[in-house]
Amino acid sequence: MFKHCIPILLSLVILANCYALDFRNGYIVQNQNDTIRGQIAYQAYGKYLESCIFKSNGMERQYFPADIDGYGFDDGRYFASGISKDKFVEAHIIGELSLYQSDTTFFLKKGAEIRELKTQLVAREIDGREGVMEDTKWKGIVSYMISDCIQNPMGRMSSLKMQIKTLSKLTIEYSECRGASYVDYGGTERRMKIDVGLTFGYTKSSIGINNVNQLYKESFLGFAENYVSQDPSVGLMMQVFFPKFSERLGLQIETLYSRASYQQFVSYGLVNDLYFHDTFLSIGTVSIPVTMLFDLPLGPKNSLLLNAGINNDILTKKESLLTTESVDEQNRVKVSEDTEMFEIRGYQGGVYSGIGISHSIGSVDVGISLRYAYIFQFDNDSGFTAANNKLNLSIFFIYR
Amino acid sequence: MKTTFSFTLFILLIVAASGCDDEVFEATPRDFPRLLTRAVTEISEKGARFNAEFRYRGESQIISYGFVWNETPFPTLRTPSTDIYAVDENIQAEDFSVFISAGLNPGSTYYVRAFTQTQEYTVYGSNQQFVSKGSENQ
Repeated sequence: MFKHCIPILLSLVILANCYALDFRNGYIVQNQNDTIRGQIAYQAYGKYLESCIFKSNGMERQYFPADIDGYGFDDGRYFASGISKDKFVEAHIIGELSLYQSDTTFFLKKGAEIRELKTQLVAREIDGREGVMEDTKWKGIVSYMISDCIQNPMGRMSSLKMQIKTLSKLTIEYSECRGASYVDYGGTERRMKIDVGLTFGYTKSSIGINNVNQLYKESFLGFAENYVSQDPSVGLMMQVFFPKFSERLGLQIETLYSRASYQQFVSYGLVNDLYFHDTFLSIGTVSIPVTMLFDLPLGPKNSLLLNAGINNDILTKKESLLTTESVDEQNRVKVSEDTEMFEIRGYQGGVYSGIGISHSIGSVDVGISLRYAYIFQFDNDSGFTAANNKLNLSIFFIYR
Repeated sequence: MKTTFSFTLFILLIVAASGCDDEVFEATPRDFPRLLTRAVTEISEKGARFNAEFRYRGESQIISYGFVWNETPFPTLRTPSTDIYAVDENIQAEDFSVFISAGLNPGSTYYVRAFTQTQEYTVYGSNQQFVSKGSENQ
């Protein structure tokens, strides 16, 4: 199953990294503390730390840490220079005590003093045996930086973890303790972004029966090779982004409910009798596609959305019926008892891909998407294989 | 808040969709009625009720309908010593039944089939088997 997904997922990742720059509203702070508004290139996180591509009045220029004090986006993110050598660092809190981050390393700045917080595992001999333990020198640095205002700073260190949330809280507490103002750039909130929405659509599903085992050929004369159903669907959508990694690439999980019924009629002659068969399938499905989502900006309010991943179908209803009548030469009709056509699996796996466009209206993104799912574990019968191809056209509403 | 709202709305929509009437299988039109023999009911010392249902009635003119039963499986109108209950009428109802109160021997196993006749076809439903407890009139 996954071999079908890998090329699509790889394409998405390559696209996410290679796509031409798009620009978001922002500003740069020059060394003379002048702020110039314009647009800043939207890049992968690592690139933000190296340079800033700034566009203003139609002019585009790349700035390095030595050129400017910092730059920021209107959504709150700010990258400062002068903290780490030859790199920008992301600002979390700027105040009496400031907190910055570059990859996994944090920085505390108080006045002109900048201290680096780095954790690592060091080899130690404990009770005659070699072991590794965390080097907690960074806690001593934090304790030292806050000791002139916070009570019992060493006591606070035992439960302190090197995380944005806890370090930001302590940094803010210090500024409040000093009665100084501070700016919170919201780094905690930006670690993970979850958006939810609803979808309403129409699904065309097509079940194909193939690879019929030679031994079963006669039993399958009553089955048509293809069954088609078109039905409405409704779903819940959740998009999870990890902006630290990428704001374009995320995870999309959906639950999509639909009901479908399929019917086919088959007649054929065998020896001296004519046979008539109706085949009927009735299925209720909760589909749970889990996909990688690539959100490609098409201007300030529009996006192109691409999905690829796996599909999980849980069947809430699964009925299959085969009716049979035979007519002999004297036109005597023999009606047989209805039987189960074949056993449909309660859980079905498959692959899933989709493409869509969305438009932002306030805090809601409205869009339309076309999705395709290929379900290849449809039945439990060993005499043949059945697969379900599903094409879904939906409108969706995502609350940002 | 928005997650809770969306989830609640989704559940309500699913419940509403699930609550719709189940799809009813409708047979594809053909030249003859599709007739099913249903299980025999009300089996007692007084007799037993035979039941049948048209799964597809079609436009055919029905000349007669009813039941055939015998102690051997798959009885037909031409099977020797088969009992027959027949009504000569162009029935329009989707099902029919009859309470048989004569000729059933207690302890005997009977095989019942519904039948219907049109100008061109004689249609027999599937075989239903039951053990008789007898009948009012032997």
